[in-house]
Amino acid sequence: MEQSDFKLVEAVGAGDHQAYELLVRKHQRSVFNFVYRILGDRHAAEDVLQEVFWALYRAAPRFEARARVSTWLFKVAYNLSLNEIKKRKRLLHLREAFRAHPRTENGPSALSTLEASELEEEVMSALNRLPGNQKAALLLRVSEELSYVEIGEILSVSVSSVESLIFRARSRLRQLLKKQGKE
Amino acid sequence: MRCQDIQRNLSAYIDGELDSASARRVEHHLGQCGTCRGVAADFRDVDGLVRSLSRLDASSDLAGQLLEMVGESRGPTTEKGVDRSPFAVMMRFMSRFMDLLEAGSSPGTRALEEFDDFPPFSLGSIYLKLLDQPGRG
Repeated sequence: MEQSDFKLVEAVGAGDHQAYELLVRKHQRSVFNFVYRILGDRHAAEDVLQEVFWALYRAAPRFEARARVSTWLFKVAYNLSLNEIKKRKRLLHLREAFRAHPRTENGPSALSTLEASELEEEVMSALNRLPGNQKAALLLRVSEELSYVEIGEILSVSVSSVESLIFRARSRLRQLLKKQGKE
Repeated sequence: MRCQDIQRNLSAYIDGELDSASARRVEHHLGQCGTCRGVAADFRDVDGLVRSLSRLDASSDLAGQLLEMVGESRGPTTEKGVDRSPFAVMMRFMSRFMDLLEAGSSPGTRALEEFDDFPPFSLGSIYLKLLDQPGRG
């Protein structure tokens, strides 16, 4: 399966738009959901998603089979999401400088009650209280079923760090969700 | 092994990321310790909750938008009339410039393909692209 992804990237590098479309349609949902859970904002996630696949198009002519294509996509998505978070923090600081009553950063989740059940909101709220790297590691393991090695490549950390991040994420979520009475 | 040590390994155990010796030690302990079994069960429940989050789709037609962007990045391609986009004007200028430099040599050579790793928009890359155009190579 992964060999066919790499062959598709090779075809994209040779100018095959159909191959590009296939790759986008195959991976967009996973990447979008990962970015959306990291950022908590659908519009920002869509922007990042577009940037991820545009980066793939530009990189395709020189893409090397050192990692799976999906691993590469998640790595780019994670890094772009971090940039987006840093950008938002800067904007937030600027906005707060002009506000009489600054909002806290743990504001309401972007999920509206129209989109998610109450339980889902509680889970998202708990997830959003995790540090970004713990949340990313947990999502990549649980939602995307990636190995610790792959997660380490995506987050640019060692396998033992991945283990630690996921352990801490689960421990913290366990505490938060127990408090909310969801377990 | 102490519960604290076991619980630190529970995450990796649940994910199948422990080596077999460590996994056996954890399994053995879980068989005897209700507390650690409870923690493992809680971790699995947490995973279940995260996994149950809705899988959403991006609202826009991403593939279509990207294909449009890809098409635009090549610049307009017209076979009738003159393309007056800035990129096309520049390419025509470079084509004539390269013709002057390479006057008398065969445009059909492919020997330069071994150097086909010039950065994009470098003179070398543009020259190789011109050689590949129909009627030139």
